[in-house]
Amino acid sequence: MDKRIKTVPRYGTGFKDRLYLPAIYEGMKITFKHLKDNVSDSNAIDVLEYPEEQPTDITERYRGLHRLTHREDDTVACVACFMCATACPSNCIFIEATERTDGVDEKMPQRFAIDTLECIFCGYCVEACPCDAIRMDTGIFSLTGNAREDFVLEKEQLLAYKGAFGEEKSIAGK
Amino acid sequence: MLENSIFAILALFLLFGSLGMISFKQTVFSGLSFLLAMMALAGLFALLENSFLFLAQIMVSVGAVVVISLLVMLSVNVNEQNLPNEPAKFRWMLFSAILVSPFALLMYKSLTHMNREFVETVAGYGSLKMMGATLFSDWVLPFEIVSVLLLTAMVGAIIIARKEPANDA
Amino acid sequence: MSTATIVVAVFSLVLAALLALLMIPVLVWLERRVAGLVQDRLGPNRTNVGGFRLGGVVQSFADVIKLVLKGEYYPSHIKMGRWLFMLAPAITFAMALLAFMVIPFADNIVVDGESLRIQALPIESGILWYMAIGAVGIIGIVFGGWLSHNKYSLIGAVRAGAQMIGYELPLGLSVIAIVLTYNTIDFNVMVQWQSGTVLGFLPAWGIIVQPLAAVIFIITLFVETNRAPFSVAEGESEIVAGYMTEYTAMKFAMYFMGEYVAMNTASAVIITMFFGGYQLPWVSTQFLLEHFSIFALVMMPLIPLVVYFVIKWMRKNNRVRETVSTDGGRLFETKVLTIALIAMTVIIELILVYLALQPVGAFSTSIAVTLFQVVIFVVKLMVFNLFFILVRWTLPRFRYDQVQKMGWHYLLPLSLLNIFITALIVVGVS
Repeated sequence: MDKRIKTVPRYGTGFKDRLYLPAIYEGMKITFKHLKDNVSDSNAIDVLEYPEEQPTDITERYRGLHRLTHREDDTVACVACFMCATACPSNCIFIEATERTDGVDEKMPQRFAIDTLECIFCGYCVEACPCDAIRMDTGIFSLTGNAREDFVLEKEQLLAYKGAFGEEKSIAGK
Repeated sequence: MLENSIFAILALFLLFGSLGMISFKQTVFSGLSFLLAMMALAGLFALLENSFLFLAQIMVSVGAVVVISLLVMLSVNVNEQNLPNEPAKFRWMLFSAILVSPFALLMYKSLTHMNREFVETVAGYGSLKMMGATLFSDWVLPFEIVSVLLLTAMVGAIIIARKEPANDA
Repeated sequence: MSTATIVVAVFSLVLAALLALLMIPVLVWLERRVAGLVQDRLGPNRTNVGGFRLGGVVQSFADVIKLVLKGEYYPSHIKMGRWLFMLAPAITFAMALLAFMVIPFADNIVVDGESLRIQALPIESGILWYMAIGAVGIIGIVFGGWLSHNKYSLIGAVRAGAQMIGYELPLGLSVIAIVLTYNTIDFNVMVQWQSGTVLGFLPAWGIIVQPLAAVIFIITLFVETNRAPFSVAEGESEIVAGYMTEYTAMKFAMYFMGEYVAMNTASAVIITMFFGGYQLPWVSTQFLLEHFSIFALVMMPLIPLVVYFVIKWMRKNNRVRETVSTDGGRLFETKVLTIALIAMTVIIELILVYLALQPVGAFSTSIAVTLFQVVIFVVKLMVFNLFFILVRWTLPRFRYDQVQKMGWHYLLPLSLLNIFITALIVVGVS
C-alpha cells in the first residue's frame, strides 16, 4: 500500500459492542456508584453553597466590575481620550469630555457611563487605556438591580468602587 | 335509557366526525374529525359488549391509521394558499345527499324489516379468548385469505414507494 | 351493588389517582435530585415550607404553583386552530392517565364470596388496553407540533410520531410472546402466574421466563414514553424543546406532567408483567393469606430496624456544612421527622401485633394482605422509576437514524424470533 495512506482501526464492531447492553450496564454501575456514595454522605459533596460560601478563586486577573482609578494626588486619572470606547466590542462605554479644571492635564470626562448589561467583560478597555484609568479588578461578580437603568454605571459610581487587590491608584507615568 | 342516550351521543360524534372529515379545508382538522369518528366507532363496539373490537379499533384505527395519516399530512405540509378553493362545497354536498337519498331510504326500509330476534350473548362474548377461538376454528380460511391480501398490499406499497435503483451501469 | 363493591371501587380509584397524580411532583423531584447526586452536586434543596425541606420535594410543588400562575399567552403567529393548540396537551395527559388505570395494585379481595379487583378500571383486558391507549397519546404530540407553526416543533413532532410507529411493532410482537407464555391478557392473572417457581428454585417472574421479550419490551417502553436515550422528540439541545417549544404555563405543564405519568405507567406495566407485580417472590396470595401471622411476626423487628437506619441517615445527612453559617431550620425538621417516624413505627407495630393474633381466614387478614401487596407494589414502582431516571442520566441520546435502524432492523426480527422460540417451548412443554 502507498505509505501516505494510514488505515485507522475501527472500534465498536465486535459483538459485545454492537449489543450495547454490556456498555449500558458498565455505565450504570458508575452512575449508581456515584449515587450511592453521594446519598450515604451528602455533606462530602464538593459543592459551593452560595450565597453562604463565596467563591474562593477570584484572583487579580479576574475581570470583575469596572472602576475608574485616581492618580497619586487623588485627581481623576481618566483623560477622556476615547480609546476604551473605541476598543469596546459592545459599544457600551459612553464618554463626554470636558476641559479639566485642576490643571493636571487637559481633558477629563464629564460623563463616563458603562452599560453593564451590554458589557461582555472582555477587558479590551483595560488593555486600551494609556493612563491605567479603567480597571476591572474590583472582584465584584454579582451586580443586581430592579430596572434596566440601575445597570448603567455613571462616573461617580465607577470612581467610588475600590480595587480588591491592593493597588488602589493608577500606576501610569511611574 | 342510559344505553340509548350513550348510543345517541356516540352516533352524533360519528356523524359529525365523518362529515367534518370530508368538509374541512385544513387537512389537520379533517384528521382530527377522523380521529373523533374512529373513537366514536370504538365506543359503539364497546356498547355492543365487544371488548376486543373496542380495543383493537382504538389500537389499529386510531393508534396506527390516524397517526400515520397525520404524519403524512405533516410531511406534505401544504401551505394554506395552495389548498384548493372550494366555494360551492356545501351546495355540492347537499346535492349529492339528495341524489343518494333513495338508496338511503332503501337501506333504512330493508334494515328495519329484518328479523328482530337477536341471539342471546353467551358469557365471555367479545372477549379475546372467544374471538381467537372462533377466528381460528370456524373462520380460518377467510383469515388466511385476508392475510394473503394484506401481504399483497404491503408488497405493492413497498414497490410503489421505494426509490428506483439507478439502472445505468 | 353491595357496599363492599362500592368501597373497593372507590378505594381503587382513589389509590390509582393518588399514585398517578401525586407521583408527578415526586418524580420531578426525584429526577432533579438524582441527576444532581449522580453528577456529584446537590439537587434542589432550599425551597421550604416553615423549615421543612423534605429533601427538596417542596420545590416540585413550587414549580407547579409557578406553572399555574404563569401568564397564558399564545404566540401571534399561530392563527389557525387555537382551540386545538390548547387541546393537544390535554389529549396526551388524559391518555397517559387513562393507561394507568388498569394496573392491579393488589390481588382480588374476596368479600362475602365475591372476588373484587383492586384496579381502578376493573376490566380484564389489561395489556390490550395499555397498548391501545398508549398509541393514542402520540396524537397530542403530533397536533401540538403541527399547530405551533414552527419548524423545530414540526421536526420534533414528526420524529416522535415516526419513532413511536416504528416501535409499536416490536412492542406488539413481544407482547404476543408474553401472552403466549402467560396464556392471558389480564394483568391480574399474569401476576398470579408469576407466583410459581421455574426450574424448582427460581421465582417464575417474567424476566426469567422470557428474558428476550423483557429486554425488547423495556427498550420499546423507553421509546414509547420519549424518554432518554430516545428523547429525539424533545431534543433539548438540538431543536430547542421540540414540540413543546411554543407552549407556556399550564399547557406546557400538561405535556410535562403527561410525560412523567407515562413514565410511571411504563414502570408499573413492566413490574406487573416481568417482576411479579404486587407480590413477593415465591409467595402466592393464598400462602400469604394463610400464613400472615408469620409475616407479621417477621416484620415486627424488621420495621424498627429499617426506621432506625433511616433516622440515623437523616441525622447524618440533613445538616448543613460547618462553613455555611445559617442552619435554615434543618435541625428542627430532623427532630420533627424523627418523632413522626417513631410514632408511625409504634402504630404499625401495634397493628401488626393485632394481626398476628388473628385466626386464619379473618377479614382483617385479607385487608392487611391487600395493603401489604399495595406497599410492595409502590416500593417496586419507585425502584423502577429510579431505574428509568438513572438510565436517562447515564446514556447520551441516540441519533435519530440510529433509533429508526434499531427499531426496524434489529428489534423487529428479534421479537419475531422470540415468538417462534416461545411457541415451540410452550407447545413442547404442555
